[in-house]
Amino acid sequence: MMRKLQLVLIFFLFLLGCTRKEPTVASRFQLLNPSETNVDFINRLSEKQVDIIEYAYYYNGGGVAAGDINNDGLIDIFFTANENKNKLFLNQGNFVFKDVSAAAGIEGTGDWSTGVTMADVNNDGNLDIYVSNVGGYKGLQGANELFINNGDGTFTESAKAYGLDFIGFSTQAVFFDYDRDGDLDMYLLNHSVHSVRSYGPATLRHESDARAGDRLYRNNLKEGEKRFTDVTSEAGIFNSQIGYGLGVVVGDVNDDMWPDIYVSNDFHENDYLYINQGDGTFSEQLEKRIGHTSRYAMGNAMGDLNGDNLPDIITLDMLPDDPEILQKSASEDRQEVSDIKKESGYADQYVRNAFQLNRGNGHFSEIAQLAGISATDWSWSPTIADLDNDGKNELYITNGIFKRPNDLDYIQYMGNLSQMRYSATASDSINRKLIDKMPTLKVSNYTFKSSGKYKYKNVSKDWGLAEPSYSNGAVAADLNNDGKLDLIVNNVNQQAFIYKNKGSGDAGNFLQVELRGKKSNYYGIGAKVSVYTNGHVQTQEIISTTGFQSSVPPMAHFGLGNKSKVDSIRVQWPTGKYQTLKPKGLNKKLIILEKQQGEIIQPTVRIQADTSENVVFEPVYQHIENNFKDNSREYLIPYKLSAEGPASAVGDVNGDGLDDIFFGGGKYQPGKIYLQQKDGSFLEKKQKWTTEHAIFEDVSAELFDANGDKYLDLIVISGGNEESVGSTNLQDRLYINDGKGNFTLAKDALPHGNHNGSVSKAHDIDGDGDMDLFIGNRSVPGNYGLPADQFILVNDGKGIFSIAFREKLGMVTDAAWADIDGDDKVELIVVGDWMPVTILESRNQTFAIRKGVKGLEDTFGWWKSLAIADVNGDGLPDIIAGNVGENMKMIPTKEKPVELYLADFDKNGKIDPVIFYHKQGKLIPLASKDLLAKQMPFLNKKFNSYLQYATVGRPQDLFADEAIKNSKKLYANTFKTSMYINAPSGTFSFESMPEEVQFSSVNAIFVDENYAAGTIWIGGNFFDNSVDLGRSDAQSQIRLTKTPNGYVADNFKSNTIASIRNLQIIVVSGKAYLILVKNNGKPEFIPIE
Amino acid sequence: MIGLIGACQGPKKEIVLESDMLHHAVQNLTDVIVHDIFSPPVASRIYAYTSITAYEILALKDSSYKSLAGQLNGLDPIPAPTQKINYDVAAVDAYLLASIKLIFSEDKIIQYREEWHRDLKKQGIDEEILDNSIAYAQGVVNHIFDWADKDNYKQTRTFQKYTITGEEGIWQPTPPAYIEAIEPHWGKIRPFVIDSSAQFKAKGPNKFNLEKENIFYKQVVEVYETVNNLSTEQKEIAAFWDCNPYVMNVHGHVMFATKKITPGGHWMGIAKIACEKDKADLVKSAYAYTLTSIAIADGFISCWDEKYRSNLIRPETVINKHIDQDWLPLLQTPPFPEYPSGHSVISSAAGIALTSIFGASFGFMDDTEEKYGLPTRTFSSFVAASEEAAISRLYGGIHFMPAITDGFEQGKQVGKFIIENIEFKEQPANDGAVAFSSGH
Repeated sequence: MMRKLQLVLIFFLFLLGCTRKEPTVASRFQLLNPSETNVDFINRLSEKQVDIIEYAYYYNGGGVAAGDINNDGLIDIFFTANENKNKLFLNQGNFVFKDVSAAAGIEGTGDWSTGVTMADVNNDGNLDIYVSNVGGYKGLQGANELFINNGDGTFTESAKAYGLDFIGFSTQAVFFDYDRDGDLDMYLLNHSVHSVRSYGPATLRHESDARAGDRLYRNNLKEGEKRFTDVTSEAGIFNSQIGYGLGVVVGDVNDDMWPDIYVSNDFHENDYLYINQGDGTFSEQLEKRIGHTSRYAMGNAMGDLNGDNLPDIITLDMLPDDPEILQKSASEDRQEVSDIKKESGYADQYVRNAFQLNRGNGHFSEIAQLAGISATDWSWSPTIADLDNDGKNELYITNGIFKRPNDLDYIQYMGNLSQMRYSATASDSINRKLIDKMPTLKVSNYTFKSSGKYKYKNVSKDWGLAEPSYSNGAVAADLNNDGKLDLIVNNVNQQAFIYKNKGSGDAGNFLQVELRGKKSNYYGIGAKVSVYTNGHVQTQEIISTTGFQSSVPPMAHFGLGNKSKVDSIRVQWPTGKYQTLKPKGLNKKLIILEKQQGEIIQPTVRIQADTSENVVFEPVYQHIENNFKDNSREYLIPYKLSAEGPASAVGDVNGDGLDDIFFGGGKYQPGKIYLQQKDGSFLEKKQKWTTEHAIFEDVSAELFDANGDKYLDLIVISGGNEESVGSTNLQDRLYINDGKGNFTLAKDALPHGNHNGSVSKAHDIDGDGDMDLFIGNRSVPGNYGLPADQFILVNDGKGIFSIAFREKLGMVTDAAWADIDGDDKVELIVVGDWMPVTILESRNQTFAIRKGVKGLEDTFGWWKSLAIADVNGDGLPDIIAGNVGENMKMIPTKEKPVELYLADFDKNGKIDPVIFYHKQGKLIPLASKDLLAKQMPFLNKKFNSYLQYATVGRPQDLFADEAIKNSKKLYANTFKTSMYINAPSGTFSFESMPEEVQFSSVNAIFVDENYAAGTIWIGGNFFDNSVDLGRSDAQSQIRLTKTPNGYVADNFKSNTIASIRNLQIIVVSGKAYLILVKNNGKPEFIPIE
Repeated sequence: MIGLIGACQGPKKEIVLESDMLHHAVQNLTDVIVHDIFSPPVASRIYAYTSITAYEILALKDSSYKSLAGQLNGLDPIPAPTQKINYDVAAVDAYLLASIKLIFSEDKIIQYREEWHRDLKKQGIDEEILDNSIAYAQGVVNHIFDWADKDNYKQTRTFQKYTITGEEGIWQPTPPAYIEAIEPHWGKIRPFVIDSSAQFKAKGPNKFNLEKENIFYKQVVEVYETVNNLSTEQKEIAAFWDCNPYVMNVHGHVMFATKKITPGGHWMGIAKIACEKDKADLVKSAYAYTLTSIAIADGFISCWDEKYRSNLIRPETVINKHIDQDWLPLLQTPPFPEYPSGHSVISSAAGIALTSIFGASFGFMDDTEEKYGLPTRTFSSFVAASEEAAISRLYGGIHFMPAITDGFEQGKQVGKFIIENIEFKEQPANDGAVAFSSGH
């Protein structure tokens, strides 16, 4: 009762807060009153003609276009209204506008308008307006409309004459010069009402649909004809019924001056990334360049978010940020559904915003979670712009939906109404009732300001941009020419927002650039403008359409912070020619005219779109992961423990002085030994056991001399989560080498039993001249979270081992032997899941955990890999530990760890592993209510509704205090891949690594001491996380190079999206290569010298 | 609602419950089952344990009825009351308590039970007897659930999920919700009367084969053609027997589940209609519910055992992939393998159970689905109703014909075995002349 009362109180206070019109502090933005601006526009929805049940996109809202349509130097605004008349507001200065819609003749005749774009379609220096409509559906009529600007305040609708009077499901048009002939062509984004009842094969995208398929129109203006030609099919543009297009943006993603296209598609269809081939065609390459995308992708934007002058891509989705809304809303697919979509040919998609960071190598890394921008509720329009003129772009995101159909209580429990389905009741009235029952919830838009190289924080409240709304299209534009970008937002059933940017005293300098093309199109769409200031450069591309159903003025706006001087401005025109000028002064708008003679120079960074693999050597081995689904048995397991391979090992096994390779097999796949030939080729050396031992899943291997005969013997660790401890299919194998590369299984050499293994590390630990072993085990199969047995085995000198140490240390992934403290005795460093970086020291013939090692206390991670090297050159071995990274749904800290509770909560004889993580002051379960209740049905009894479940904010809300008390609790307080620098005193200090390292999991670390001393190679990515976590695919490989200022990351020769599990160095024909050993893929050889 | 008899002039009255008290309790349970979305096999388990609980108490009261202890697998006799109780009240109370244990949304039944207790007091029940009865009911419920807890239900909650192989001819989740296979281990649940889930195996489906002349292909075409050419009556029949507790409606971003009673729930409704027409008293009504629910429960166990042995693909999947990408069955395909048809098995078994109580030519008007917007249908016998339920799955486009005919046969064997192997009455209720249909 008390809690309820508190809630009511808080709610009341919240209401009070809302009624106060003026923000308390002098915030940067001020919402202007329509009575002062005269912009009294409301996109009002009547729900009369159609509704959301008949038309899925009923609440998508309208768009905004901003541009100076009368060339008076003031930016005017156009709003689309879905049902009502579209409006054009002429800027009269000082934030006073005049509705000139009727006189201008732009209100249009379409029954349902969507997007709007301002562009100079006929290249006469006056911005024209193209309005997208929905026509020919459920009684909605109307073709798309092209309002040609007559230059006198009036417009003439000319879509038919221009061949652009498309009728169908248009969302938005973008004008751009794809063939770089000097006139603006048009990509028309259409959505679809194709049933999403079933997914159908992805090959459906190759079919054509006249009303839902996207179109590409070529402008014939330069050929002397004011008319467009539909070139969709010949240009290679998909135009099918499964193109649920909700966002389109154009930009040169691969820096070849040919504009590329990114299309966001709703539902199960992939997004499309069309790479312009420069010959009038496009090649769709999303899956080659991007690991995963948003699922219900809505609006999108391209722009540089990290200051490397490469266009990044933002796509928006509908993931709630508020834990309560999150817990009662439908979000990720169940595993089965996800699998079916993949089998149908669709790419990986998750219900969250995507931040596709352009890596400059043809690939993108999706880092929205690391950046802190992945969850902004039901989101529509992203705006990338420098709102505070500090030289770094902000990201403004509109969101809100008038009726919220993804409410789980609605989905599961509202249906009784529709039991009248078979009765005579008119379906209209049932729809009406169903819609009335749909929950409504107003949330505020998000404003993200950069708070690090790749990180953002929401400053909406501080900046005065937190007015709750159902917001859709939005544009940033300088409405009063004060050099600060204002915001214009189109809302459903609410006054459109005009936010005046007042600055806040610290407002930096700026420079605005408009272009006037001669050979290029009039406003220079597609040109790139670079501003050079004191060794720093900022680049922007001139575009029209961005965000959601919206378009911006064709100009560049640069915030310059406290920079007092611009050294030069360089324009690269769509023709490819450069033009450089040195402007005088700052804080103004420059208009740059295209010169007839520009210079053509090669750009400094040229992005190779090469996506071929560096597979060098034949015969090609390819690891094949078997498709065991761990979560068919362990519903709550957060990631697979059955996909840890392959094993690999490099060494000279036949004494010819050449490096040979062992590659392990997946389950049912034989591991193979390849002998290097004199010519640098590799030939498989068949072994007697090759076929027989295919049943083992080889997860780790090592070549070492086990029996003291100086030949390299082979140990192969078996793993897998499908069989129980003790299963013969889990036995580790020691194979003795006869010196010629013939290996024989040494039976009974290894006494430690059969486990889901993870690693072996050979070392002479007792100084008796033979090699002893650490054997690490990953898990207790079928029981996620339980600690597995770990072993140290001592060699009798003849290759027969006995157990010297056995302890359930945890879920071990990797280990290393090193004399950490210089006492001439080796220590064992062990890492794993829910474990700290652990040091075992030898003590009286056995080993014990060294307690309280300073600097390693708070190192509980989901560790994946380990390397020991003297990183700082002080002669002491330091620790580099690979973790899952911080591009995760959960990012733990010491204060806010991720927690795992292990107990048989439902008393059915099986341990239930329940993971909680901190979100906005609450500790909430990672798994959905449905998944938790599947594992523990009593939760359905405890929580009758999702609304009730949504209040869960700590483990005690889910389970009884007693059950919590009796459970085993594990936690992780860092997901950061980390360096721990060894101090002579036996203590360690954390040293951070380049932020890029945290983009993905780090599964393998190799410190190069021979070829490029100090270089650290890192292999990463893990595709087998649960759908709730989503796959880690943002970084297959990264190189860290030592500089005087620490390590610097680059993605040298990284050009595949793969999961790297091992890194090996091999010398082939005298040349060193790094081998990237991939799970479920072919190894890749990268020359490193 | 509550009948008062006896000439007792004192303040405390002897209360005898009419059968409608039990009917209300069953209806209440059905409503919650619908709300909570229990799958058909799980719902059948709920109906069986609740009914048995009530029946066992009433059989103690009426010496013409026999306890099922020793007759049902693993059931020991319930404890005898040690204090003066009202058996009727205890039986209905036990039914409600058992219901509360088995469903999720307890509030509705708890509230109903509390109101009913208040009513009883208002009617003047001896409060000590009421308290005794309630306490006794709780004891019986505990006894029954000690037994129920050993039926492997809890363990099967965490057994391995059905693995989707993508193999040709093998079941895979179907649109629009692509729900994972329901209860893949239901065959491992302890049955009530039959020895094991495999005691009455169906003969097995035809092998998946899409050659034009092959029998499997022909049965695929049969479904396709039938659904494409349905008469109005066939459509009505299909809708009437849909009995799908969870139909997902998808309109773009708007999704909502439509919920109805399960096949078992429908037959509980028919049992009630029969009891009312027959003017059955409380104990006979309990008998009818119990026998019917046991027949249905064992029917589901048998059926599910075979479903996950044959793992047969659904018509929708084959037809969409190989014949017509846009084809839709009339009914939404339920989320489990095709063979045999669950509705056919359990309707057949339930029809036999009810026939054994009320006779072979017991005609009735079935308005069970009225609550869900469907019209009333009239049947000349229970078997006629079960035959229509079976064939409705073809009209609905969710089953091939062999699943229907073989399922009906399997249900018949299960039903027959049950009525022949457990006795409710010290004297048989009829002369044993149960008529079986040879319709398939």
